[in-house]
Amino acid sequence: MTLPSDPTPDTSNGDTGELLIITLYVAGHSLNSLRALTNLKTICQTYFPGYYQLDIVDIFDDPLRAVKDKVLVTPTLVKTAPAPVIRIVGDLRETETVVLALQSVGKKS
Amino acid sequence: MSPESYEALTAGIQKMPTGIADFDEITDGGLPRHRTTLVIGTPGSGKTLLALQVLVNGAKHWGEPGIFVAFEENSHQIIQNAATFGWDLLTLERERLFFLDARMSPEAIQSGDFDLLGMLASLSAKAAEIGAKRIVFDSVDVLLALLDNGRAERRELYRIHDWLAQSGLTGILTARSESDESVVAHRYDFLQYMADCVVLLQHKVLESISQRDMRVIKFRGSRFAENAFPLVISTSGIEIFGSGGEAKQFPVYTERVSSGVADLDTLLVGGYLRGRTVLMTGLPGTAKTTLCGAFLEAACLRGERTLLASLDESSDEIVSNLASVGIHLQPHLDSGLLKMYWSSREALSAEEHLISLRRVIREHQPQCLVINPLWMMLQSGRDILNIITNTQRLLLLTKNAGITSIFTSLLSDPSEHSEETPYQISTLTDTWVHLSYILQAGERNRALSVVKSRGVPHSNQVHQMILSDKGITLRDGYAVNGQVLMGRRRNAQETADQSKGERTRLEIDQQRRELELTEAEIKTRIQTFQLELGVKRAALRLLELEQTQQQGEVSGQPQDAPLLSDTRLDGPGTKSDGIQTSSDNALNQGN
Repeated sequence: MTLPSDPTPDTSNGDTGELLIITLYVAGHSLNSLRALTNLKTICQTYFPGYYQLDIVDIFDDPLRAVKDKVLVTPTLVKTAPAPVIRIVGDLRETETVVLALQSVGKKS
Repeated sequence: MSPESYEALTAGIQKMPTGIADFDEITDGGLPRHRTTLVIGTPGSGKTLLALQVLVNGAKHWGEPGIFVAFEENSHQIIQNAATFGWDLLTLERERLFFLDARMSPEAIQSGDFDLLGMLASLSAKAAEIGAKRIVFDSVDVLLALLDNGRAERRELYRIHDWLAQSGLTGILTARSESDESVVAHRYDFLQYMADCVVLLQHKVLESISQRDMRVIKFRGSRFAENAFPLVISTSGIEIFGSGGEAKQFPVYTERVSSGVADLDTLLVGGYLRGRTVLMTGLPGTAKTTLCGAFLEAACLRGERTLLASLDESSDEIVSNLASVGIHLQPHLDSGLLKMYWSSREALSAEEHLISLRRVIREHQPQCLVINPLWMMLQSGRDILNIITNTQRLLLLTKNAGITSIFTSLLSDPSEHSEETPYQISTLTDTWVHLSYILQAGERNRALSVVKSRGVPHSNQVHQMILSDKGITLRDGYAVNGQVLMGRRRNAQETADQSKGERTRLEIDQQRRELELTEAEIKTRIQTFQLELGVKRAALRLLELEQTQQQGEVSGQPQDAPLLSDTRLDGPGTKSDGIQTSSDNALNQGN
């Protein structure tokens, strides 16, 4: 499932406005996965409103995709654009760490 | 596929063969199917290899597909490593094996808790896709380090455990133990409780020789051999030297096998016993190798397959040395009847020697075997128990196979080392031949004695052994005053004894002659006395006659006087001839 990104991108954080493409791999409705999903949505709407594209892969639905993408632990968040690719594992409870990881790399480009 | 079926529950533990030499025997059939096996080991003890080999063997020999989850190395490294053991994983991978690179990228950022649900879901799908039966997680401690949380560690391990039970897969988890001690780090104790089978691998370095062993610590619902067994990583992967299975009745032979030395065969009432073991001890240069060579040559000439395992001395050296004493092994080496196995002392550990030897024995299937020298080959450091254990292992192998074997050992004098290793080894062997030299009169002579020979009457004498271009001969010991003489000393003694005998004979002759002379003299004297007696008697008669005449003259008859004088002169004259004759005869006899 792909969540539609916010139609009005907020450029208040002074970013280049490049589209952030991220994929969250979850394992059904397990606790860690649900937490990660909640945390990620909050982060995206707060820090990257309007210019992110989030793809959610439930490994229970598509288990072989995880193997192909080399995702092992759940939940795992993968940022594919802007380059470079970055992986964050865990329930994303440390907002600052997650935002910095998504942002700082994005700023370099 | 569900292990929860009634049949599965009542059938007890099912075993999954590993295909690793002797591992299946030690575990009475292999690893527990549909269960979790934990392989714990120090770094470099062969955990990953063992797990991989179980997987590869399953795919190759039983057509059981498998999955390898690599937390530590990437799959390229694993495939490369496997190639060194001749396993073509790339081909297998296409058909029956799947490698999952589960290394956490070092760049990955961690934020909060995570679990293995996703991975296990993926693995379930993959397992179903390829029909996997076996799965390896290598190694769980890397995984646990990632989780870095005691509670999470347990939770995830139990998750794997439960998942294995549900999936019907047979799982192998590897874990590193932190030290050389057998105890896994306290942190992972619960792993041992959780697993149904726990195998401990150890890697030690003794006097710069690397040594590995394996031991099954636990096996729920199954019997297993509890000892530690040598483990070797060879060119074909892991090899384990087990106990040789159940205590077997060794094949019993009554046949004799020639020692290659006719005199020694006589001594042993026909030779060594077929299928038994001969211990041959002696200092360097006491011709142990020569006797072994003679034994092998005789075997080859009978058309038997033979094996000579030696240390430090190369095949060429041995062959040319033996040729100088008339033992020709080269033709048999060429024909393939004789096989030589040799290695330098430091190249391999005792266990590696043992396992290499076993491989060669199994390949060549010899009927006669020589290991020269035994200790050097089976000794790891100074551990005497180790030598004995290794010798027992080797003996089980040779006795089960009915191989007639000679093991040689460096040893000076059996009586001087009563408490040491060779004696303990000697109790394991059936015949003990001791070689030595005896130093006498400035020369060194080789000596051979049969210290023991089970079930065979044998001489207890020390024999002199002579090596010449005609081969080996034995001479009976020559004992004088409780000392065995050999060589020149013996020859001298023999000569001395011979000349003494001659002198004695001459002396007796001389004495006999003297006595005969005395006898003759006495006889002569007796005859002389008899003659004298005759003379005296005649004189007495004359005297009586004279007396009668005088009485007659008184009555007028005087003419009898000349008669009397004639008788006196003639009588002794005639008799004296007789005396001279008999006396001459007596003297002639005396001469």
